[in-house]
Amino acid sequence: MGSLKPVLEVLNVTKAYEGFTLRDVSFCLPQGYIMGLIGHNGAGKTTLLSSILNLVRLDAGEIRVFGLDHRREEVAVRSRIGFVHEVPTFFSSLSVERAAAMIATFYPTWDEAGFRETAAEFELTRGKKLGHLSQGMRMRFALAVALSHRAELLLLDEPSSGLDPAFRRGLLERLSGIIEGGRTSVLFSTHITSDLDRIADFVTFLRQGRLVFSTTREELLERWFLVKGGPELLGADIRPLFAGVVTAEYGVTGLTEKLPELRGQVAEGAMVVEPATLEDVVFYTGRTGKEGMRLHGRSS
Amino acid sequence: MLKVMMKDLIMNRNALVANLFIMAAVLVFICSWEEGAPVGTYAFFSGIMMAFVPIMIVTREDKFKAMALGCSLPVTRETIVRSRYLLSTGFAVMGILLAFVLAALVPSSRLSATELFRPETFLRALSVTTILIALLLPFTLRFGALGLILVMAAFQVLGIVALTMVKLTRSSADKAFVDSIVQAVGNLYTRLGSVGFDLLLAALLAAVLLASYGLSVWIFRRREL
Repeated sequence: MGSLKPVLEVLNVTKAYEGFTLRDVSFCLPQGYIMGLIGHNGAGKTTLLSSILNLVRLDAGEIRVFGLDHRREEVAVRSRIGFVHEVPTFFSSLSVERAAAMIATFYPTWDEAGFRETAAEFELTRGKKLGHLSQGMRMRFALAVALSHRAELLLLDEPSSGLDPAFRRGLLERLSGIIEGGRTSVLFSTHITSDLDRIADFVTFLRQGRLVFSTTREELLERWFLVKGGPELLGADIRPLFAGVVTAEYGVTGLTEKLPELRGQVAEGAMVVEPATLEDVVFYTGRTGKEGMRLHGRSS
Repeated sequence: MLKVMMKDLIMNRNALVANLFIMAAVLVFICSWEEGAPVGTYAFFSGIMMAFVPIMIVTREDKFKAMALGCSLPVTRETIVRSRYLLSTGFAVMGILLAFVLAALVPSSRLSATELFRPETFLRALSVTTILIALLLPFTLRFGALGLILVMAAFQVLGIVALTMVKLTRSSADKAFVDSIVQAVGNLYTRLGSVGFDLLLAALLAAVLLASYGLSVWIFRRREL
């Protein structure tokens, strides 16, 4: 990642709320790539995206977008960002066309023909009032707006929520197409790991406000493995080699990035090793404690 | 800045038109009402009503949770606050003039146009509007509709505490206090009409509005969305 030109640099970002802290998060998104931001509910994904837009004040750290400070140069930065909030809010009394025209005035790069084309593709009726649109259609409107001012960075907070599977797939293809020119980059948060499998070049994983990893999808899938075996995997010397385990009556399944060390400690026949999927990584990471998560209703 | 003002006007178009009709109806009632017809009272009421128009824009934005949208657009928060104050002042001036035109033209009105269109009458209405806007906008920008309720509730609590204290101490301080305020405001208004005093009052109102603006910018920059 080092030689690639960064479009977004998040450096040691910390933001504390009562009962939750986004702590010391750092990662970098290179220009022309798609990064997926994953994590459980309340992991800090929306806080992080809001921080980039300067909607929340950081307690510590720095965010640079296009090489500019996101606070001091907020107008220059935001004029080049296309955003979609988790719950898109617009005044319901405005029509699709009117609301888009109003937002268009803020962007010198607004592409009216492009918006009309996208609105038609997204099946948005231009004269229909936003208040009469379903949540999914409002999300489509927000996406159409974000895609219509030639933004160089798209910040999308759960863009696929409320969308039907066919449209979601089309959107992912569209995002893949957008970055092909190398000018636009995308950072999007999601719970749906299959979306990341489909299009993400980089994956950033947050858990309880902390960064677990931020890496390329290929590296992630090469690095993590799912190991299945018996209770010996919970031994005092072996258990620390797992990032998380799930214990069930039929055995133990664990996620590890320390396969060579594990192979040195456990006999080859005593365990089965499989490449981990993104969903495995998200599911198993943080299943801490000696037995991790215990299935069949017994306490962990 | 104009873009932000246009956005606020477009987004609140229907609500503004609806409010205009309601206010016009109330103002026609006041100017036609025998006991409420004195020009000073009319200026006072029109000032109060106009002050709530810009406040309504902020509270509606809060109600629709559209503040995050506005602050995600390429504008600074200072620009957003500045546009609110300019809109407020613009609405106040236009609203008061409209109220006076209405009172002068409505056949049932008991107010004469010559009385209405004096600088001191206008200044009287404007002073009420300006003080209310200066007081309410920082709270509404920070807390939305809740800010408006908080200020109103604070005044109510203040009144209840004062009355309770007076009741407990069996003092006549409440009457004396209210009388002194009424007298002070009365004295102030009797001085209206002299150019020097009018200019001084206008400058004072501008200073109050500027101080409120500074406070609002400070507050709004720190607001988390």
